[in-house]
Amino acid sequence: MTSHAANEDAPVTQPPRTPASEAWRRFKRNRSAVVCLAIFTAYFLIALSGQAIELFQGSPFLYDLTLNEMGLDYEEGANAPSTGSWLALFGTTSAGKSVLLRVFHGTKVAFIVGTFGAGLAVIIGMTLGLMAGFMGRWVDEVVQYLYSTIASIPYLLLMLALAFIIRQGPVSAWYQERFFAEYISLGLFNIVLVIGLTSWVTLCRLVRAEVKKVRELEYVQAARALGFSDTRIMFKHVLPNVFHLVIINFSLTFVTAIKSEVILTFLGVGVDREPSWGQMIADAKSELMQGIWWPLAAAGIALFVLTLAVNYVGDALRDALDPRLTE
Amino acid sequence: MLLAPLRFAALIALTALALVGCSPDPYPGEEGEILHVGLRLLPKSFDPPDIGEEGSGKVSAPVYEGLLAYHPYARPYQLVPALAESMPVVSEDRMSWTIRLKEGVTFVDDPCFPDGQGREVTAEDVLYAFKRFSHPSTHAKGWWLFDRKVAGLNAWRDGLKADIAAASAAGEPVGPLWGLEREVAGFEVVDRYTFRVNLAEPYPQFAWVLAMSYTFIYPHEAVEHYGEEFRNHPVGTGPYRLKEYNPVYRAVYEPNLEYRENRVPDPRNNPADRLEGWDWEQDERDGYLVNAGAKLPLLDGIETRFILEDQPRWLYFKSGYLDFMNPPKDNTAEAIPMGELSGELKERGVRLYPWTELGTVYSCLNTEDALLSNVGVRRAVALAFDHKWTVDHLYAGQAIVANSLIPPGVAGYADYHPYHSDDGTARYDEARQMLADAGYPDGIDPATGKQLRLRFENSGTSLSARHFAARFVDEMRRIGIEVDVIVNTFPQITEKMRNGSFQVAGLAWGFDYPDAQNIFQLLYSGNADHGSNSANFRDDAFDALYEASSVMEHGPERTAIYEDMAKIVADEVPWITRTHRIRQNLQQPWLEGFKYTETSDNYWHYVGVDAEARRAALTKWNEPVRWPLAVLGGAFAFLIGGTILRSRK
Amino acid sequence: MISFILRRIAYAIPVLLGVAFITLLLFDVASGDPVSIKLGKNPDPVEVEALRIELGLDRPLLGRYFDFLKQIVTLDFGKSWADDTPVREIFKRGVLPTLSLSVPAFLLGGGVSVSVSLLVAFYRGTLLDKVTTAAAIAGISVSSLIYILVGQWLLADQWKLFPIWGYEYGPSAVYFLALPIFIWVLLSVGTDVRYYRTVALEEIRKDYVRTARSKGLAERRILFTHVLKNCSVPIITRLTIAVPFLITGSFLLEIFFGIPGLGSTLLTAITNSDLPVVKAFTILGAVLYVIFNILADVFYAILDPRIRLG
Repeated sequence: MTSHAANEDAPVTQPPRTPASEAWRRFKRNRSAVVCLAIFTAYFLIALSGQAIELFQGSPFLYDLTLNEMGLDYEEGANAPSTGSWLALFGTTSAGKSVLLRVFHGTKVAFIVGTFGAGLAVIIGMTLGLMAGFMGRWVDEVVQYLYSTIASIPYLLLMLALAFIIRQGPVSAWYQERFFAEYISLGLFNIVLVIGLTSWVTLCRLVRAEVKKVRELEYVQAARALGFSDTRIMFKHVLPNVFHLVIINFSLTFVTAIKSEVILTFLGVGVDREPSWGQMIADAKSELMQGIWWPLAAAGIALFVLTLAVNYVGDALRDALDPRLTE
Repeated sequence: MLLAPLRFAALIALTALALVGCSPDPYPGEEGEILHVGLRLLPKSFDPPDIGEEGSGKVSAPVYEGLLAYHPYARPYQLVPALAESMPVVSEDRMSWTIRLKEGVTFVDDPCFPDGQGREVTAEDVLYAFKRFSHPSTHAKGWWLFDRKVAGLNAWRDGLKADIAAASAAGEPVGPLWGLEREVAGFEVVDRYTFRVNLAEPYPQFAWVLAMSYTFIYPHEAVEHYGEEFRNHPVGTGPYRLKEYNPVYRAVYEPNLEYRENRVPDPRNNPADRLEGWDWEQDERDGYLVNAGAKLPLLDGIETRFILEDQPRWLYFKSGYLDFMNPPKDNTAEAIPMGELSGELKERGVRLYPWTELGTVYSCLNTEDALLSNVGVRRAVALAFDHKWTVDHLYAGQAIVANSLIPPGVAGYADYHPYHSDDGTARYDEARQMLADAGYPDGIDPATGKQLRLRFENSGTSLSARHFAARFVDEMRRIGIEVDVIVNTFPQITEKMRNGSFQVAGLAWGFDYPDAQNIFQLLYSGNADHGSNSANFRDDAFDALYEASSVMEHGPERTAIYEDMAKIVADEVPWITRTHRIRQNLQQPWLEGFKYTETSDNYWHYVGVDAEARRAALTKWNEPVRWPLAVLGGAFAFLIGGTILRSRK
Repeated sequence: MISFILRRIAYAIPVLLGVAFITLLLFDVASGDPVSIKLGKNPDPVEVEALRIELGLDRPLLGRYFDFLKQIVTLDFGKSWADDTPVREIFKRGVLPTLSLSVPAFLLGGGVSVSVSLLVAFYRGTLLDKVTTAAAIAGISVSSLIYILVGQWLLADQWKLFPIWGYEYGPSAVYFLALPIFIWVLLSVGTDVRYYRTVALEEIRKDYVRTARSKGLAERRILFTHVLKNCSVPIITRLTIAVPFLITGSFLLEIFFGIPGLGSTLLTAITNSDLPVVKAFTILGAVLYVIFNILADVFYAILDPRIRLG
């Protein structure tokens, strides 16, 4: 979504304009993007409160109880959406559990997958890109070799193989011992790792290219002449100049991560112990033919709206942060 | 001048045109009376020693015959002669079985024969097939059926193994059936049409073995001519021949014009067809004998497609493109709500045939695991299982709680189940008490101070598998045990079971033949240690009874022993027996003479199709709905046209 | 140019060696037990050991790595563990169905994306532009699974416009491919249109366009001759990079619609732990990817003389 910036009539008493606040102003001008950001925040709050309630309540979690077990009076098994109780607003699954609660929990799963999965990928990509672009020579060669190799392996195969390995290997045994394993299931942890380890390549490439340009800037050269350590220069001087790429890429990877969860769960290597949107969509494979459309609709719409919102925000961010696109 | 948008619009128009011409018929250009089948698994091989799973079994069935076969309609199951002229004659001491072949039966015409003409089947062919099955290089999947049962056969096989190893070490050329011509006492050709098997010990189940796909008869010319490709190129004596085969897509069959004289049983007019123990009058009333007396084959062809995914297969059946189907687990509730045909299907004339499967769904407990070696723990887990829930929710009522590891109707069934209730509900209080008595009060391990943890190996990712796992987690939690669910593919779970690296695994066993020995062998200590006894169950009393019964003839004495064995299993709980599923077979109204048999697939030989009825029904059921596309196309064209016009102004 | 290509190929070789190693590592650890696939229900433990040795499962990793390299060079990946068919056979069998789905889908999708992008670039700012862009973003926000599930159920089952599943070798394949191609195009159009549109808009903002406009050239002329030519570089690069994926096929579409191609073969192989097939696919996929990346760079250099090949 593009917006045309034409702001020659700024008042005299404005606060100093940093690139960040400039970008924020441009962003705010795009009304649809702001709405989407609000939607995203709403999802985030749902996820957060869901997690908080779980921490407070302990197992068994509400989304795992059937409506009958919670004291309400419903038919066993799947029920179409009804207005009886807010829990049944989207009906119940074939096991009699509240679709609404499960979709809410799916929000938490999506956020964990999105934030930590994309976060991990972004951290790896950013760091390696910085190192490769800035330090050059053998570091650059090694990083390039690394990402060429990983990028050449068909993405799906890589994800599936990693998923199988992490699940069966020593990592999972270690994870089970941690206290938070009860709140973030092993399957979820697996997906985060898998997405993080496979999605960093694009960002790495972009950052590396951009860093190579930034290296030649005067003030960076000055910093080097002054004898500052490489690490300090990379993170204090170079990084701010490439950070816009990181943010844009994070939003894109967030979306890819959530969509990958759906496919991975569908193939059976994703989240299994707790409900997720991917699981509800996978279950729809057989439910749809039985005429049970509401879990698919609920999860599908939730997924769609969040993805749409993040896509819009990501587009707007790109317009706001990328200096080349302003006229 | 706006070329690109115009070209684009033209593209859309063309596509729309193409779409409009399409129809939903997945068998374009087909003619004649054809049976349409959908398989849910890929077949692996047409080579009889390798036909060990459903996929291969079903594709091979139309083209082969064995010495004996299951009667297509009798229940309980009975065997009748197929290539044999009459039932085998068993000697007084029960150590020898003599089989006389029918005369004048020929193999199907095939290029592997010198003049392309199929030749007559003789006892030499039976000898070849059995020897090849037993040859070590064949790696026959069904070898366990002959193992230690036939006189001299194990020595023959081991001798060959050693000699082959020696020859290859010496650098000699060793072909695939090296040494096949060596004599073996257990297989004897008496004369051109008579074959005798000499056993090492009495083997009452041998008759069933002669009806299994492992013992289909085929000519040595085919193996020699096709070599490795024989597994894609069958040559048999069945009523159909393979016309086209794509191992990942479909198999197409045409009638075998050389098929022997064989007719659909006609008990009303032909007293010789009135088999003892077969209620043919009921079957006649039910419509199975509508083609009675007709000469086989009845069809112009068969087309079997390998539709692995449940949704498309089910949709194919609903639209009438498959002639019969056992609905996938996840669709049972839709097709057969509460055990009755749904209104929609009933209206169309679809027929429903339920039967209790010859099999058992169970959870296997690894009795060598540190925690599960404690029988009290096993009994506690068993008590906390809610089988009624499984029946009601996983199987939509289409299952019965398993009161014994043997299904009802099979000799040895005994209603003895101390660790689960009559109606299958769980008994949590008792379970908790049992767990406490076993040394784990409230599920807490005194050594670590934490809740006990169990690993549950699930196989498959279907909706029902996941539901069961989730439910199991809930149930165990109520007695204080935390469960970790591991999702596996079938090969992964098999490996874990073989290595004993599992605690609890969800499995099912389908009987190869209707004799309880088939399921007891899975608990015999001789089969433990990386064998089929994955629970590694070792019980002296059970073993003694197993060894005694394995050589007894079917009869009240043996049945009593089987019942005792079942009781031992119920007491010691190496398995938690869950349910026997009620399977449903759905048939389209135009299908004739088709009675689903579990342990064999030769009933396909007797099936007919009313092509006229089928054509009429399909036209009615599958009218295309074209208006939505037209509307969408119109809207889009409007949008483009409007924009173009507006910008011109 | 030649030295550029040679240098790239020389660089690609250690990458492929690395891929081969990672492939072996990954799939060895992740695989289940192929022995049960081959030996059936009640295997004899001695047989199991013998088969392990025959399949080379007892050799050290480095030995298996060199064996694998030899296989790659001779293009002979042995036999499938599921049914002993030579891996080469499996590939040959699956290539035609996959290509018959992916190539028309690719061409059609590409054609539609480029046309639509140019269209909305030309009519930028109008309702058409806004609707199309919104539709594109909405389109890519829906999971591909949903497209397939709903598409198959609605268009094939409910409206009976297409066969639900299946394939035919020969001209009748058109009936079976129409719906999967349609879904494939839907899936790709969203992302492609956004990308090409951005590229086109970036071009349009450049100085030379402003100059041309001020010189009085017609908007259409500018768009379809000058801008298009300059956009061709990223467009062609993107299309070239997409080609290796045509061959691996869309496994979801193939499985749901019963197209017996490479995609579904691969997924079946993964589920059955059929290592030879999976390894062959991975390494071939990597090789294709590398080749087409080099090709894309070459096209880029040819089309844009400003780029140095250094």
